[in-house]
Amino acid sequence: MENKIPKRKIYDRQDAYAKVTGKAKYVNDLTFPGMLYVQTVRIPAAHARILDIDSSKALKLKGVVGVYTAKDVPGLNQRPKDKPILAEKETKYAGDGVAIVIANTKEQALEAVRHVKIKYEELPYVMDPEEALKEGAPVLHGNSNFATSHKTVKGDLKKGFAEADIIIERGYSTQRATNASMEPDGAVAIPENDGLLIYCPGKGPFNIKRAVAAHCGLHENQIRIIQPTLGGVFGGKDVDTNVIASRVAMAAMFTGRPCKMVWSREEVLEEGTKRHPFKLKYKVGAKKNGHITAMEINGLTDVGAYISKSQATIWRATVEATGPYNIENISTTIVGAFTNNTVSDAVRGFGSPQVDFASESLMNELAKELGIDPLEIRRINAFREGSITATGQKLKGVNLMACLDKLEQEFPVHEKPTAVPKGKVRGRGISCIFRGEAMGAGFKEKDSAAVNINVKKDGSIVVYSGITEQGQGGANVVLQIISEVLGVSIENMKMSQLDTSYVIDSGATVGSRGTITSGNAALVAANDVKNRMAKIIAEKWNVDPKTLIFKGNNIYTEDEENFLGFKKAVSLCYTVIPEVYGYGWWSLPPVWWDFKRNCGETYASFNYGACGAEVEIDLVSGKVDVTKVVAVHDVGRIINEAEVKAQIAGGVFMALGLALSEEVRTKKGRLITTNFDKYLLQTTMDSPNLKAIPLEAKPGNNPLGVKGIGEPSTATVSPAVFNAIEDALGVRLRDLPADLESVFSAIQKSEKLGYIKEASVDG
Amino acid sequence: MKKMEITFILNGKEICMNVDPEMTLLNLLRQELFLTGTKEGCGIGECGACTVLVDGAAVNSCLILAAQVNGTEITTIEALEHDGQLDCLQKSFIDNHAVQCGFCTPGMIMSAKALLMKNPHPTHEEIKTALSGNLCRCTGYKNIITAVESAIEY
Amino acid sequence: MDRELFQPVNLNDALKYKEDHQDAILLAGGTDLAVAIHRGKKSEGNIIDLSKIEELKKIQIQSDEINIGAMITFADLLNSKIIENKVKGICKAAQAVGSPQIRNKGTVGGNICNASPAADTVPVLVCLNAKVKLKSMAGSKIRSRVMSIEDFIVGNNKTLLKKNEILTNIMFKIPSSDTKINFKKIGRRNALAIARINGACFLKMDDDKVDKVSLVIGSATPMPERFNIVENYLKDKELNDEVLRKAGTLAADYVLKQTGMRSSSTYKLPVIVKFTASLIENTLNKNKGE
Repeated sequence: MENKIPKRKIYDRQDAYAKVTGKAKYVNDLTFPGMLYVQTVRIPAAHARILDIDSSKALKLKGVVGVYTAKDVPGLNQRPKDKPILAEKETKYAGDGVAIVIANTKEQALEAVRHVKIKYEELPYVMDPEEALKEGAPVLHGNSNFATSHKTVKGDLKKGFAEADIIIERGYSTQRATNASMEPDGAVAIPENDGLLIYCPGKGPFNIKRAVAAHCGLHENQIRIIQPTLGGVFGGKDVDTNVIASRVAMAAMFTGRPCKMVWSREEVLEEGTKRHPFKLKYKVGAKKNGHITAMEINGLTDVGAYISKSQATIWRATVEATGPYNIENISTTIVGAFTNNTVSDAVRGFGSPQVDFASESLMNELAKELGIDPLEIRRINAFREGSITATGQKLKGVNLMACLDKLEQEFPVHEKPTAVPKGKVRGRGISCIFRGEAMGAGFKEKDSAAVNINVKKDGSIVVYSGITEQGQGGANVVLQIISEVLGVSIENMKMSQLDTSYVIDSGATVGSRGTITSGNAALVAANDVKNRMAKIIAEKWNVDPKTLIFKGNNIYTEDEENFLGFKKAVSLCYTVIPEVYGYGWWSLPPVWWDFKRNCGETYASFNYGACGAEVEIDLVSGKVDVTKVVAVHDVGRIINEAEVKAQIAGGVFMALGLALSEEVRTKKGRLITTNFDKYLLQTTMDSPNLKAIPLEAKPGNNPLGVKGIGEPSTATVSPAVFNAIEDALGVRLRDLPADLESVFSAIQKSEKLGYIKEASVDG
Repeated sequence: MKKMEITFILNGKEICMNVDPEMTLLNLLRQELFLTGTKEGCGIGECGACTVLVDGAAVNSCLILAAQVNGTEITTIEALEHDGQLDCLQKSFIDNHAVQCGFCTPGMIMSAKALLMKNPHPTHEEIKTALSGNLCRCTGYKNIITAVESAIEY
Repeated sequence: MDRELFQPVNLNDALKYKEDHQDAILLAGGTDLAVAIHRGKKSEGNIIDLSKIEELKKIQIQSDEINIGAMITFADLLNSKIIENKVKGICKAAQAVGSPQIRNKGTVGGNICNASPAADTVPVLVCLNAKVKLKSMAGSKIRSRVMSIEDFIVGNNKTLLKKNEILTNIMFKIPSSDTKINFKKIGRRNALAIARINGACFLKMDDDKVDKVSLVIGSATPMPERFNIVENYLKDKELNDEVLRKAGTLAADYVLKQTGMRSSSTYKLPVIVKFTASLIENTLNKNKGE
């Protein structure tokens, strides 16, 4: 099968009407008769031993139906080193839940939380991963805070450094950030037959089903998850949703009534998962001509209080840590350590943006030392067709050079910025990346998705897809593909709400895998319908089924001798078969990883990207405004241009926040970034002139030829911005984010160095 | 709590009801009147998802007590569609790909509505300013700004 | 326990209620109270909603003074012809407040009574030597007292407002038409930002020399105040780079004296040197009356 799906420029997603009219129902918009409200009780300490929980006072309050603790969790409360549904003996961070209260109204539940009296002993805590690994540090799990580590080794590091004309060593750090979906997490559980129906927005509804079943001591077939409209994910709505869904599920089991919990923004920040903060040390050796001979990388990341998916996140970071460069001699080691911080987990990019920030900053530092142009040094070392990665994988379909060429055309890499207002300086920077597609060998699960198509007797079509619509427009892409194959208009089709009781498990909608997996599954499913119908129709017409054309809501032979409207064709099929349906699943080609030898085929395919950013820095305050961004991304083949561009734009903005303003901070073991007044997302007033360029070079390694675009644009921007700041000030910043304080201190250094002139400034 | 009687016009209809002094307008709309198109993203006026119009001005309904709307005229997202006809902003948001997860969309449209009611031909900068109290995590704002710019052509 | 909300339509009723219920909370724009309720910080006392009192929502010229009702919102300031024609500099400060939604609801009176060191309109008002009128009722008699904002705000979140008083008006002399007014703010982003540092400057030149100057650097000292030491230094000087730099240094030294070394000083002090210089220079380069 090849991709005959034409590129679509128009935008006609089916969920838009409900969203612009306020009719779309998100989890917090749902109410059910007799519904109760559930709130979580927490301990205001980073690390505490629970001595006693006295709920007698709370239970006496008006409207309170019940208070439950870890002892009441019907099934498995906690897997080793993982987050419990409710902490039993010890809380390991201030967000840990220790009890739930259930009441008739949310206000009553909130009031009751204040009356659950918990006796606890504060324990010593550790918030810094370096401190956590030292002897004598408070230990969270087992006998050490070492959580996990990964390694890659290629060639001979010693030999590589010996060949180098120059060796530089640099250290970088990234901050704790969060997904900050506009919709806070929540769930509603309703007792149903001998099990539970749970409405909850999550990127992995099938994972939620399994988690709830395990925590509630039920079978998977007793749990049914229905997805309401999802208000954004960006890596979140996974572990947190499992916890929330399990808490409301147990509440519904105990009360026999619908139970709802929706976190406030404060709770989302306090208990919810975050992006892993990294500290990375790079040592790189290169020839005078810019050719890199060796790279040694040592990293440490903060896993937070529980292990969650850190194993996989650190693995991705490790295998991608060198950046998209052909290097003979490599050693990378990244270690994760437990601390009493919030749990680190997936956030758009899953470990890549952190290492890309470091490696792409490093490339500019190396270029500067060697006196080589930053674009040129990238071209010298860039992955080419057949290059071997750090893990020993031979690359096919490499589009990196095409991205760099396009960037050079669209972004004035070599020109100095002009027309700078007085009191400001401008600079430009670039970056490029490679990124493994979908789950990769870091996960054991089969990387596949399924699509079902049901053609109703009236010719209308219902589509069932296991990939979630979380805002990205993935549902529309699936409909678009089916529409093209069957030649029926999209208006004739409907995407069914995702219900795990009849939709096939397609894994979680993560790793930019949505279109690759469900798009190709849709292609298979649509052809399944087509073949089934064609066989019946061709028999009637006495022609070869392969010669039938499905187009414009009609089915006909090439000579148009035989002609049937789609609807009539469906009616005809229903006289022969009981159901006109199609089923398709598609799986990425297999990948493998040898944990002993630290090598393997990490991902079935890779995508590439390049970014240019221009900054304007206010010399009075250190405020950085990003004025221009050009983001070029290798997307394989475009299915829906508007949606691809929107994914790039959204990723760029999220990354601008990462580069400039977003940071979750703590003080004395407690979170001080408790809401959006402190966690600063970029606003309309911070928006640069953005050019998002989806590039069609060599197609992706799948029938549609598509590549994932959900995450790559989040990885390129922060190093490009930091390289631009260096270009403007002549001083390198190596710690995310570039906030007022750090940029101002760079300005002071720059003035001392005489790189920029200290002047009375007219800002 | 001593309930207070308030009267106001909501989406063209007069409403008279008793409210708790501590109830916010957001909770009044969502919990008491079941108008769930207005969203809660932060509860402290920092995200704009709960934006509604009070006497034509965009406000964060999470920062206003229900009692304060006594005697005013309130417009929520639910009122923008008339007899099956979408408001020009709603059409433009659909056509310009300005909707992704949709959680910020009602608030975003209400802020834009307040702008267009006062200033039917805003500049690019005026649009950016009018939307500066509404956060969006999906779109990068570009398509939203374009949608507001294009809405006047409908 | 039975908290009630009182919604007077005239000031006398409000004052009477305040006299009788001195623990009652005054609700202006409402933004702070709603946040407190959201955060579960239980406050006691009845609520007086001032939003229906029309007499507190006027901007008037009274002889050589402008009188702003306490319930005037930041958006009202931005839409006022009087403000635009007479003291446009206030608009820049009002525009810097939060977001359109907050400007539509937040009031000048509320902003002053809140006494946040980062308030955006306060530095301009202090530069203007603005005064506040505080009214109360004793028996059937209305008492009022007037004091400067600089005296009224005595610390972070602290004012001299008495339990039976309501701040009703803000008054200031219309600056002469040859006075240049400017406001400047440093925030972590370009909207929805709390001032890391802000400041206002009024400048009247006599040829090339400073005739009159008022300067307030906000979000720097515990309460808003005129930087007299800088103003005195600038008097009769020509504003060249050296003078501006010296003015900046004096401002930073003054802040250090007032606050002592804090963790934020590493950033704030050197920035204040530049910020002050740039604020004054910007003001000088402005068109008259703006």
